[in-house]
Amino acid sequence: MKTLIASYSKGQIKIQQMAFVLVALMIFLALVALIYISFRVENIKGDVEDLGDQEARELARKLSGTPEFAFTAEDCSDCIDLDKVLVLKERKTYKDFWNLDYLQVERVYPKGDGECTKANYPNCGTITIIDDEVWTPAQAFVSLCRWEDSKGGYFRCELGRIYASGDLGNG
Amino acid sequence: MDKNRKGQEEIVGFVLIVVIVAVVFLVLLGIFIRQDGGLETENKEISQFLGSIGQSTSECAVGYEPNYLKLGDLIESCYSGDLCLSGKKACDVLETELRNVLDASWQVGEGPIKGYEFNSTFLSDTKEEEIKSIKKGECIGSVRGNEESINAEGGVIVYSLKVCY
Repeated sequence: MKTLIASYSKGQIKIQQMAFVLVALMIFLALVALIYISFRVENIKGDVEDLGDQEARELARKLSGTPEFAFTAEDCSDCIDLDKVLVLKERKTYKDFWNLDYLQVERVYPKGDGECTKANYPNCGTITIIDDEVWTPAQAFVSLCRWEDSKGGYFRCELGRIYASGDLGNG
Repeated sequence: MDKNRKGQEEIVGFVLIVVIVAVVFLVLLGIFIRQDGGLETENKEISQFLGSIGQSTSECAVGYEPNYLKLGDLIESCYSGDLCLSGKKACDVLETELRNVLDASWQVGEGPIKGYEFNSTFLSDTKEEEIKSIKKGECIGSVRGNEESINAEGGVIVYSLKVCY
């Protein structure tokens, strides 16, 4: 009788051991699954942000294709007419034309300093057309083209960026 | 003898659990590493950058002034071994201008950018020849890139940029 009770207890202990191991394994796998899911969710969030960013860039780029910005002297979809942009800056009526909070063109290379005016153009850095409220503006690389008077005159294009924020889609 | 066998069983069980945990850990590690080293080859920003620099006016004039070549055309002139009116080699002007424009646009070491790689290659049915390659920093981890192509005599010139984060 004593022997029977003893072997029964050992069996119970074995089952208990196995149960503990299984529970520990389940907890471990659950933790792993949680980490994996949180990582995937972060990735998906990142992808969503990337897509939004790409869309914003595309819209900023689309803006550079509008007649008010487009450089039409040559066949160039990546170019904007910097001379036109400077004129646009002077015309306050265009401030509400695109339904934007912020619109700026920046010279990237060669680097320029300060805001452009008729006095320092083209040796300047930025032309800000709309500056109501700065969220995080969408940006896109563009080629900034202008008429250069030196050496008999020619069209000169330089690398720049266009920054825009607001409801570009309805612009 | 019986005690020895029990001990052996315990060890086998323990080893089994350790092996299972290690396998799961390795699988996870593999997934993490593969996702960290992601390669995006059709990045819009880089496509816009490459398109824009291709249209930028260089300091190299050919034939007469002010017939300054666009950077895209300068790559072709470099491949042909042309000289600019200033007497400089088209390839030297290309290298200087590319380095300047890349450094102004992608600041390596500042912020998340770890490095970049610019490559331009001439491709035809019979040959593939590197024209100009510029590298800065280290390209490990996540990579974003894109490429543009321009028609050239007897083939096509492909220029690409990879930016590493």
